[in-house]
Amino acid sequence: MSNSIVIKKDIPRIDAIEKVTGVAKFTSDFKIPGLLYGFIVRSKYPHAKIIKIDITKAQKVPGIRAIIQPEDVPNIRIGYDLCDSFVLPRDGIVRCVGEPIVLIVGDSIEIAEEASELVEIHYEKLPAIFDPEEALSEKPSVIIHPDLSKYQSIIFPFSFEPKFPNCFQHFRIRQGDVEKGFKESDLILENKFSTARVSHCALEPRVVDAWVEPDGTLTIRTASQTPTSIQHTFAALFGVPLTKIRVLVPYVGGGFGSKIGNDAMLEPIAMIAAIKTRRPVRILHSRKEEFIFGRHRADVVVYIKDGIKKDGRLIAREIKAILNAGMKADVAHIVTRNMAFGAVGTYKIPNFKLDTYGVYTNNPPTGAFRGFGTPEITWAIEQQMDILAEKIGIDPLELRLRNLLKEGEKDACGQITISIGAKDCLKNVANWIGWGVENKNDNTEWKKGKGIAVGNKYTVSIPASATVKIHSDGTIEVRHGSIEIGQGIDTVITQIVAEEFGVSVNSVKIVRGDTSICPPDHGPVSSRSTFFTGNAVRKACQEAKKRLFELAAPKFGVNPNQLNTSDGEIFIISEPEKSINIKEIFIHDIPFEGAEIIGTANFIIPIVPEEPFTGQSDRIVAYYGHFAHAVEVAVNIYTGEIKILRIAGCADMGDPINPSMAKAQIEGGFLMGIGTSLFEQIILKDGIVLNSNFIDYKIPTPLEMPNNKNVISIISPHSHPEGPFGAKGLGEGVIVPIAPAIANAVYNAVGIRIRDLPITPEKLLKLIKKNYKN
Amino acid sequence: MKQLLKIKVNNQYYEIYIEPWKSLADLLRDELNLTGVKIGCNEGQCGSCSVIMDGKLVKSCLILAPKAMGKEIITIEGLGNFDQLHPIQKAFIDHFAVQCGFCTPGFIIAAKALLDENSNPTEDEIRRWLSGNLCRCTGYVRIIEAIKAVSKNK
Repeated sequence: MSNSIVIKKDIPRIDAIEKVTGVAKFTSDFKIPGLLYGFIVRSKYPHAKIIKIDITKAQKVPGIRAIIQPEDVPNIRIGYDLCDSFVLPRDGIVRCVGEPIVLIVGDSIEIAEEASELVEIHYEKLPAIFDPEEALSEKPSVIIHPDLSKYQSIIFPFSFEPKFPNCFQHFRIRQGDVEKGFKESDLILENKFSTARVSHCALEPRVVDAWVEPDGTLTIRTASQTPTSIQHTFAALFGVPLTKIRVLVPYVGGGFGSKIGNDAMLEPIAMIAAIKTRRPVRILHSRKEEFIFGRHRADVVVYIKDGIKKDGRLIAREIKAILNAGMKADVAHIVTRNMAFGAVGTYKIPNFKLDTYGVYTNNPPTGAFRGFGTPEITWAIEQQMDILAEKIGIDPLELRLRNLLKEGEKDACGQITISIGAKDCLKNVANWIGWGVENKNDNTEWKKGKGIAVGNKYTVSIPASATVKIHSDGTIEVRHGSIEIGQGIDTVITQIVAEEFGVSVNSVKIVRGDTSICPPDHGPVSSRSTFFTGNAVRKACQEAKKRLFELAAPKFGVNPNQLNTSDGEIFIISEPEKSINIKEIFIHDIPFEGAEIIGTANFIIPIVPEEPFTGQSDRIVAYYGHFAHAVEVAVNIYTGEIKILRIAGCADMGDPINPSMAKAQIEGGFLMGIGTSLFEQIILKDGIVLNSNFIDYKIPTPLEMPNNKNVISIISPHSHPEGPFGAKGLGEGVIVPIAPAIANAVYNAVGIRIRDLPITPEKLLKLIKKNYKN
Repeated sequence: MKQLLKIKVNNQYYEIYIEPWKSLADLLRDELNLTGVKIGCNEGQCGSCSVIMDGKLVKSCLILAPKAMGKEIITIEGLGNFDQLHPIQKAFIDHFAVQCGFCTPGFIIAAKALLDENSNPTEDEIRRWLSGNLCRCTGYVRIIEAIKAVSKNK
């Protein structure tokens, strides 16, 4: 079909009607007869040995049905990638405040909570370590996982470096010769930047229902991004075949990376309780539990050293980043590795050296967070670009444009650049914000400034699969393995299927969120669903059509490849008036040959494993999306307050399947980007989260966001040759350049550069006072 | 222990026995199966459980169920359905104001309470009114556009 019917069109979200009428079901909306409720007793200490757990008093509370203790859990360490944690601390050691120790199961949540207060846990406190640079030392005062060398990983190879006993990942990139590059440079610039711990704050708290079906099938309904991963972890944990595990995922109320794997251990703990009680068990996180054990974005320290020529050519860059993972690194093992790709995807730098280190500390666990390391690295790089520009006297926009990777060039990992829209993104946001136009400072109290930044988001190659079935009435059923978490994948897939079959979106039925009937997939992670799941669906459509045309061809007396379909009719391409209805391929609703007309396909991008120690590979990621932001701020020189006056975001996420949905996600990025730039920060004291509610940990309300006329979301598509209808991915990149763009604007306004996130009035005011005194 | 509660919800009358320490949000969700009332924080900070009680916007997680004795409640389910959408619901669909959808019922209820009080609010008035509702997905841009669209049509 040459002209798209529904692709690149603003088709209303297919899930919107359920959501606006309140009938859309999320995990906690399901009613289960006989449901029991679990309440978790958590560690009080950041690092301690459990001497004794006494449950005798708790057991006597009427309505208590079971108490699950560390000795009741399998003797296996599990994890999304690096398997470093027991379901409950079976080794007798707790490694952070808030770590689950005991599950109380009762007839109501109130009963379980009441009994939890009667559980007596005797601890022997152990010394703890919280600072990532201290943890990385060769002789740290505390070793958090003494058995680390024996741990195993699932996705990426794990190698233990005995030199750094708390380090679970050390990833390297080496290209050219940085020392030589620095020698040839006209200017060398070294800086240290750091980012804060932040919380995802998905509005739906984690919730899990677990039960055992009469045939023994372990069934779990969960607000998760990764049902396939849970299914496989359960197989290892409970020693049952994959067919005896069923993971159900209804609508998920946001995740942003927080709902990956068995991230808060709710799924396995609930299942152990369901097996023990032979009843369904629900565990529902309170908002406080979300804040204390719902994973954070790790705080990262970035050291960056650049060498540049007078003409603005970057010729050497050296980065050392340390990620403070907290007590668990099942996902952080990958974040530490992959954040390297965020560092190489935008600029061409011939001499490049990068070392990222992930370290354990006794802080609460971290994991995936929208951007997966790229926002943290970009915070350093994009401020560094502005400092360099000022020092050598080139406009910051111009310096960026001069150094961008171009189509076909190799990046610092050795991968060839395909589909890079960074230049257009930068130009679009610069134009809108009025780059180069003098700031009008008619007010003495509020100083205005503009800032710009560019960045990327890699998408790793994780295959997907899908199945498409043609029904006798011409409707098309698609079974996919991704999850509708708000990003709109159900709508995107509906559009792809409707396009392939030439039918209206109403003729497409989505089946999703059930591992017993949907093909395996790795869910909405790494901005991959449109590209991977979308491609698998498209291929499955083509397979189903192939089968359909094979069945129809004899009726026309032509070859199958001479046929096409639209609106439920099959026709000869050269003589479209000769057509039959799809139902004529069926007899009493059964296809006249075979049982079902099904197409099934996977989609895989083969990756070349990187050379160890240099990170070089012909293809290490699937693709890059490119993003730029420009902001105008006003800073109050008496209070340090920062107002975001205007913000522009531009995304090159390939060709959008649904432009309005894409723009809506760019706007969502403004919110998370502004919040994590200006005020969001998990405050830890001795490993304890001090701000575990929405009053103390503020996320932007409508009042913190600029008015609608002062924001713009722009799409600047650069088609990807392998993408479904040219699409790439979007979800994460929309926050990547925002923080450095704001920091650059603040500098432009008041001449003060904040290197540690967030950019708070307190930090600013201290420096303003110092500056304005002189 | 349970108390008798008489309440009118979405134009239906109910007499229910309920534990007096249950919240109105629990009552609506657990007893009346109105699960469009979402609980995002259970401490009055996110607005996902917003309902209209005797014409006023309230956070149902902060109200003890017995306090709703004799009151009239409107939840998202009382606004419209698939066959007959409320104009605000339709505007949320048309303006792509929905993403994950968990906060959506609370925003639509809040918008209704606003427009009942002020049929033609300015953008600043809409923002101030909605400052008790949190959304992590949308950036509020399209939620505000949707409400503006409905208010103009009035």
